[in-house]
Amino acid sequence: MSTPCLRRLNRLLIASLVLWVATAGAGEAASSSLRQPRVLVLYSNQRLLPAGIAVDEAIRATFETGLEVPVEFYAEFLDVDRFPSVTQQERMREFLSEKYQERTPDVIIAGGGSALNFLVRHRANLFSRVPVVHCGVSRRSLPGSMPDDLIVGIPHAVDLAATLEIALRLQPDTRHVAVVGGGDAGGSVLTASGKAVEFLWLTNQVIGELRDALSRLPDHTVVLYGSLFHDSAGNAFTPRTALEQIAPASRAPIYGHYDTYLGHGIVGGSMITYQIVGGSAAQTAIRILQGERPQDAVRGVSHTPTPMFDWRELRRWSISESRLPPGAQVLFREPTLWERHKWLILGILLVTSAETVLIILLVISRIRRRRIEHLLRQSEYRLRLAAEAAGAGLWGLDLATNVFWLTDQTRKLFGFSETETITVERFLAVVHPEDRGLLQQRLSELNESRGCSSVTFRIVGPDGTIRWIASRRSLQCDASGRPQALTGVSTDITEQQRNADEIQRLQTEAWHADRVVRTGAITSSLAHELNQPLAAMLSAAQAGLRFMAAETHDPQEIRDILQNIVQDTKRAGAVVSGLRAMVRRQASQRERVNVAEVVQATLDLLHSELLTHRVRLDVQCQPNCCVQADKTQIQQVILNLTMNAIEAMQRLPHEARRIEIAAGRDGAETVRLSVADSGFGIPPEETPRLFEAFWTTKAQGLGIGLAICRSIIESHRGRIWLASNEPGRTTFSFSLPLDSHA
Amino acid sequence: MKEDATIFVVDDDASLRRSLLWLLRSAGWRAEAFASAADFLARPSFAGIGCLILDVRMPGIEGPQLRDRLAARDASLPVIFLTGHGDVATGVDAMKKGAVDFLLKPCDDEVLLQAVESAVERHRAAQAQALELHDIRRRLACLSPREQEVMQCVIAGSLNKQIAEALGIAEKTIKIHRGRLMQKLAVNSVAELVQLCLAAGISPRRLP
Repeated sequence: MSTPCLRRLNRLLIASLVLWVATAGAGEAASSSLRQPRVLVLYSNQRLLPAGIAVDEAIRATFETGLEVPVEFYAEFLDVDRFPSVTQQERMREFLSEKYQERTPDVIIAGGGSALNFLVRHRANLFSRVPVVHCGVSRRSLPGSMPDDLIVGIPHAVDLAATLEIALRLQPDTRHVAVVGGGDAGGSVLTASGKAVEFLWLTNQVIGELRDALSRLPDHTVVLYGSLFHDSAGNAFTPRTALEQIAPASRAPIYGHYDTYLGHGIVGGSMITYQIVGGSAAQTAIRILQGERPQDAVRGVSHTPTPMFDWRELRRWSISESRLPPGAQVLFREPTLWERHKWLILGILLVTSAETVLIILLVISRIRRRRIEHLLRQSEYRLRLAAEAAGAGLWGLDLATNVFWLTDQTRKLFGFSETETITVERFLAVVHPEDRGLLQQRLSELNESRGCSSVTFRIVGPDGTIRWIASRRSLQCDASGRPQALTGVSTDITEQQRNADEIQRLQTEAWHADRVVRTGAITSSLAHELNQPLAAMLSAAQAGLRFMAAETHDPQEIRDILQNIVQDTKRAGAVVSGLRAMVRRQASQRERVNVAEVVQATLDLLHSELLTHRVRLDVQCQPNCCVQADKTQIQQVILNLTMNAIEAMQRLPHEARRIEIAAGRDGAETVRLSVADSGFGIPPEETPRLFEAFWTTKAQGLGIGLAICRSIIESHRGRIWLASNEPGRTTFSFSLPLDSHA
Repeated sequence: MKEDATIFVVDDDASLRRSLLWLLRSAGWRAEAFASAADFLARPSFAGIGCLILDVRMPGIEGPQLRDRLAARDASLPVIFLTGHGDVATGVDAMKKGAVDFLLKPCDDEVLLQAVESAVERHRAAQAQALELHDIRRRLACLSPREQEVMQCVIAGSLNKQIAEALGIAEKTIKIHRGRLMQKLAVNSVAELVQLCLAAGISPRRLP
């Protein structure tokens, strides 16, 4: 073997070894085929053409999702607009051929008509057996015939006519259509559309002239923008930058059919997005890579144009969205004020509404307060009025400063001047000396007495007159319970006090009168009671005299007689004093009274009366029951009840007349005394009014006996009532507080 | 004279009882006292001379009632009522029923003693009279029916002849009857006979 041969063989060996190692390291990705598929994308224009970028992105994205195995992408840019010459194309062919000699792509995607034509023209010498998927190639740009069936693709339906249609739809009163860029082929389509418009061809102008021309367009004009790659001066552009330069100057809305122009100055048009274009081309390529025949792979992939518009341009030319064709997409909507500053607006609204609510609440609160103040004033006014009408003086004492607040009425009541500051000392100065101690004590007891308390006391006027004042006061504490102030009402009760004294006096008089009357009723009996001892004394004394007149007499007998006389005198004296006690006019005297003794004293007075009426008596008194009472008054009550009992049995036969008197403890704190007679009883209809004053069913009598009994008993804090009322047993009972001091 | 008489005092008042006893004794009377009518009635009945001093108003049997009871028992004790009540009705009623006297307390000793004395005398007289009457009746009981007839005619003032004619007996028989009955009755004259018959309550028989 020759050395160059060996060297070639060696290189081949090493290359294949490297290749094998490389593919072995690729791992799982190269599971099905030995190596990664290679895809070459060949673009007609320069790298930075927006259409190209969009297609490229679409292709890669589609491959990413559509094919599991990673793909090697290669991209080449023919840039035919700037390098159109044949020689340049030939250089390109040679370059590509050599570059991809060892890396023949598995599929080629041709972007644009120029790329496709380039590939077709050089098919024999370049990528002769590689499947080609073309995209973005308009029908007109398609070559007449394909060299083989490996070249497939979907023609790019550039729908100029549809865009014009749209333009006229949006602006029906268009009369002129200015066409910029796009080539002659586009022109024929337009004129063939049959629209009643005049076409203005703005081709072969310098960019500056183009701008002027656009700015001088007549009314009712629309502009159709194809693709301007260079002007007549030979300046090259990307069509989009050209658009950007002329669009602001235009006097008429510009319509175009490339989606990449949307947002750079055109209103819109019927478009196929380059995304779709790229995507469908990639899909076809994927199928081919997966083994389908190219002719099969391309079927079922299609794309239709969509009307797409720039919202900003619609607004610029005041084109209403309602005129847009159905299915139209509107891009570049500027977020409304709301959308842009949604949170800010919400925030402001929130704050505003919060403020509004707050203001409303404050206003309501204020109205309420005003109303309350009004009510309060009204109430205070009424209070003053009522206080004045009642002669009541309102006052308050601040416990911290010891100073009084007084209404004018109160000042008048106490004899203070209208302006004087009244302290506690000043107040006490007008209080009667005997009552000062009480008031001071009450003041110092303040802390213990919550709630209301009352006190009565006397005040001494400047002229020495004494008046009685009743004060009702209530303690006010602060939140922590400490006494803060005392408020109260004071009234002049001098009149009431005098009346009360008078009533007391009259009552005493009435009781006395009743006693006199009662005692008068038993005068004859009392006389008889006196008679007995008197008669005995007389006879005894005379007997004594006779004994003494005899020759001999027994001194002992005389002594006995004299002692008898002494006893009888005392007996008579007791009757007299009992009588005197009954008829004496005296104020109530309370003392410790033994109930059994009082009963006995009363019965002594009534002894003859009971005898006269032939009444049998049964007395049961507990020995040690005592009450704190006026003895005469209790005796008066028992007398009353017993005499009533005697009277009640008048119509009974003698044998049936019985009075039972019982006295004893009733519970722990009460003494009860009852007088029961065996009479016919009291008719039920009369019982409610028994204790009423001046009410009687008897033919004689004032009817005040029981009423007086009641007033006496009640003045002793006791109770009197009809305990039983059956025929044969009528019982009156009264109870008094037990005097339990031993 | 007072030795054979007994004065009874019934009064519920102990002191007065004692005083009255003293008084009576001081005047030489024999006296007994009782607290109630029931106590007095419980005593065996008294047949001698005496009188009863009663308090009108007493528990239990009252004065007038006791008097009625006594009357029923045919005990002829005279009753003097003593009372502290000057009740006219009771007094009148008492006197109507035959009480000897009605005295008010307090009573002067002279008044009381006087009343007692006259009451005792009356009782004595009444007793004597009763005795005599008893004797007369005994004597009258001895008479035969014919003698009784004759007696009745005699005291009418009829002559023997008239009596004989009326009764259809001989005059001589009449004279015999007359003599006999006068003897039996122990009277000496027609006048005495008449008195006797009056005392006995025998009424004359008038002839047609």
